[in-house]
Amino acid sequence: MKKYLKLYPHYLAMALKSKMIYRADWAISLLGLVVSNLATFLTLYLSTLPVQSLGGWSLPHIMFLYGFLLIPMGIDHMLTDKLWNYGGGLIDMGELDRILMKPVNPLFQMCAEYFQEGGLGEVILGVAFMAIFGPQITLDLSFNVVFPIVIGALFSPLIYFGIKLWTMSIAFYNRRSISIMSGFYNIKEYGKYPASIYHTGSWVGEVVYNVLLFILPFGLVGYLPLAAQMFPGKEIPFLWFSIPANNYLIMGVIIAVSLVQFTLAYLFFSHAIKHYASAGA
Amino acid sequence: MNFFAFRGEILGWVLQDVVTLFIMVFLWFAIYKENANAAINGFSYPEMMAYLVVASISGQWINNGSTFRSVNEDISEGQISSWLTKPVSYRGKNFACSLGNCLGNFVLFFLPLAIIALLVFTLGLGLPFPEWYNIIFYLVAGFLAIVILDSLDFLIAQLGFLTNSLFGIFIIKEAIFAFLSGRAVPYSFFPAWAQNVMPYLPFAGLSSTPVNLLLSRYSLQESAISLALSFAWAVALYLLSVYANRKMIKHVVAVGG
Repeated sequence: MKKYLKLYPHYLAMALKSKMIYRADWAISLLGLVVSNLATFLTLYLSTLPVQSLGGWSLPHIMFLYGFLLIPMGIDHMLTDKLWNYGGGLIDMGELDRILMKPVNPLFQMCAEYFQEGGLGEVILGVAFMAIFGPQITLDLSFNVVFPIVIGALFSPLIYFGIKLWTMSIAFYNRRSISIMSGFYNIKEYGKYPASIYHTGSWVGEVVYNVLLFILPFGLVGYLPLAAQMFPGKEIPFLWFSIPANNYLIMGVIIAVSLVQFTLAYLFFSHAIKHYASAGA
Repeated sequence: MNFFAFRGEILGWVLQDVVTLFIMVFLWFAIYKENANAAINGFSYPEMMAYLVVASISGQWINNGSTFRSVNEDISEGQISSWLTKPVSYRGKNFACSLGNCLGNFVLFFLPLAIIALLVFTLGLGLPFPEWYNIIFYLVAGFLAIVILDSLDFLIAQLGFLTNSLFGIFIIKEAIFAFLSGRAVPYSFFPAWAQNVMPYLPFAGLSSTPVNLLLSRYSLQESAISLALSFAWAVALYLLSVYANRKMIKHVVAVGG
């Protein structure tokens, strides 16, 4: 672990230097994610505007949720974006040979080689949205509420990371897995709305709701912690029962689900990478 | 052919479309549930679904040109010089390839999806069948949309001379086009001032115009005006892209190829 903490700054410096070949690239990829998030945000804003609330959440609540969500998402983007390239054909090109030769964990190398500054744009945008819409809603800023939310948010990038990791690992069998990656990763879009809108009473809604909390747990990132923050004392539906909106309880659920999910993804990755056979040379 | 090389990949793209559709249905269901009145900004729930579904499956053929990608590759890999030795116009070649792509997608993906959607919306949700002239208007508007989009793509792809981060530009372009063309939300949800401006911009022709024409949301007069606007933009932007092509060729020579 110590070795990796020492290595990471070197990798990061290298990644940043290679970025500097084209200076404009920096600005563009930063702008890219900001603009696309702004467009999604505006779409959401305009479509909710006529009715002012969704599934019990008012417009500023929903916009605050969106901002909150962008931060863990942006952190994951910054650190692990290179996985997309491995799913999208880098394995074909023999990149993995180079990585497997070095006595460093292959996953560490795959992620550390690249720094996606677009994620930084998302974090900034997220903070901005929270700053704009936070004052419009009543927020409980006491320690016992904010602390578990922040701790939970530190673990939730693992959710995005884990899902990208196991879907990418399919490329070790299939040589390419980018469409499966983006198919699953895009389910994150569900998480941008308060998950209570899926909880409509029909069984389809029930399935979507619980899949979002446990199987592809994008709903854990934003909806669950904020639901407890915004509606204290209310019960939150959970599988077939409901749990009280307790911040520490929810923090525990987030940590448990994200760790289990990531561990399973990593085990699959370690298993799948053995399937890789070099083209030789 | 490249497309069929990885058959497992198709599964993923289908999954992505299904996910998008699901979110759309749930989101709008929740929105309409909040609303006591049946219609929001001139759309009932089935009409809204029809608008968004038609807009999204129309993208299967309209939005599938190859120009942006191929011009980029030509620029970054230096293939442009070899194209210039051939006795075809570079702009014309790109447009022809793009059009071929779009028509292929029209038959392979759009038609089956459109037939399913038609059955669901007319027999299932009780919306009226589109008239024959609505279909003709739609097809004409769709063709104009391809010309507009292809020309814009060609112009934007010129940025490849300045930056290597074309994925970033691609994301920006997609997001802006999807929003401004009315593919994400119909124009009637926009603020009043924007509603007056949007129909006159080239983006309207990409999605809003064809979809509204097919769903016969326009009177005959409005249809004629919107088609004329799309036509004017298509001609203007195509000419602009031809001009950009000439400029570009000079630029490439100056770099020394």
